Amino acid sequence: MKKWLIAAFCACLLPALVSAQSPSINKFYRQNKFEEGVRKVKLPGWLIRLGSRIGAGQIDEADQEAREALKMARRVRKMRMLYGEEGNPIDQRKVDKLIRNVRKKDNFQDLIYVRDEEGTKVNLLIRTNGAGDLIRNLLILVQSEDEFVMVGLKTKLSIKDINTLIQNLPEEADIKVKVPVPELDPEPEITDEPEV
Amino acid sequence: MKYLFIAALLLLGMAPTTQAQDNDAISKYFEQYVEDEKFTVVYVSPKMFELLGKLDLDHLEDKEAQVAMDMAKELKSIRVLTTEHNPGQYYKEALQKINTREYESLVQVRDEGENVNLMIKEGNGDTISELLVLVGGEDEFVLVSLMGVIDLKNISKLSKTMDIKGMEHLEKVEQREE
Repeated sequence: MKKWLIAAFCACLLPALVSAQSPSINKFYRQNKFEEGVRKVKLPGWLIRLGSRIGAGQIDEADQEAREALKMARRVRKMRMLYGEEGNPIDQRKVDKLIRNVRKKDNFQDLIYVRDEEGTKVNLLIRTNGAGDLIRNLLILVQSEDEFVMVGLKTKLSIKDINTLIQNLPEEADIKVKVPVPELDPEPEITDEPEV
Repeated sequence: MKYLFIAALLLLGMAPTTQAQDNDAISKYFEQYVEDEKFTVVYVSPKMFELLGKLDLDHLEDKEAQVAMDMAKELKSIRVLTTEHNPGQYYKEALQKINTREYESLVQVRDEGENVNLMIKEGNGDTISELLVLVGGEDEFVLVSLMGVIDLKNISKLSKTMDIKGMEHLEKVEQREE
């Protein structure tokens, strides 16, 4: 009877675990990581948390903004990144397909879409829990003639976390809702995943 | 009695359909050019405003930003299309394709070859559910569509805070109020 109960519990838990993943992002990452000109970064959650703790020890006590940002980073469970700096190495049709798939199959929703005068496109998509108060996944895409950046984040970031961050920001912090092209130039010192 | 009941159901069913068709005019026009490289595009989705509505942003030092943020929480979406290619042609096309009779004209200006049209759609009670800005001249074509609950008195604060190209035309609403 106990085994049945455990099996039933696991069966109930499985959809929740599966839904936390984004198969479309995983597939896109797998299919394009070895393309010519593509560089890849994959950071597991434990490494991000470790890094944020080390970082917290290094920054100035008074730098409240940086401390809060590092706290937020601890909520990131996984990060996958593909980028190309010398021209855009990814076929536009593949990116369009990724966007379609995350919307239809993985229940992502658009947050912001921007295309500027130079033709740089920025897509920000998100997947939340049913109540909409927990951000489970974020997908950031930046495409231009010269570069491509895809950042896929698996997070456990709640609205409460963001509210705490806002409340703990120093009073002089200038909060504005802007819709710029985010600066997502990857830092070259991040270690690449070893080639398989 | 049964027929009346069916007729009532059909009428109830038609109401959202009609509304969806109303929304479609702007949506279709936007969809037509969203991937056209001649246009710059900004789309801020309902989901973004839903998240914004959940954030505790009631303690901003900058009062103007606070007003803009309160207003943004009531919005449902922002769509901006701008182009410098054949602006006059796109302006005429927008006026033809978008059923402007559904809107009430708020501001209409023609100045040095530039046409500016600000139109509103009224929501429930005294609220405004949509603000549409169409600008067409020698230099550029601009379409701005704001949906949600819109406070015209503070619209310029929103445009200043959001810093999106094309939204500076919203300041003409307050110039009209003065």
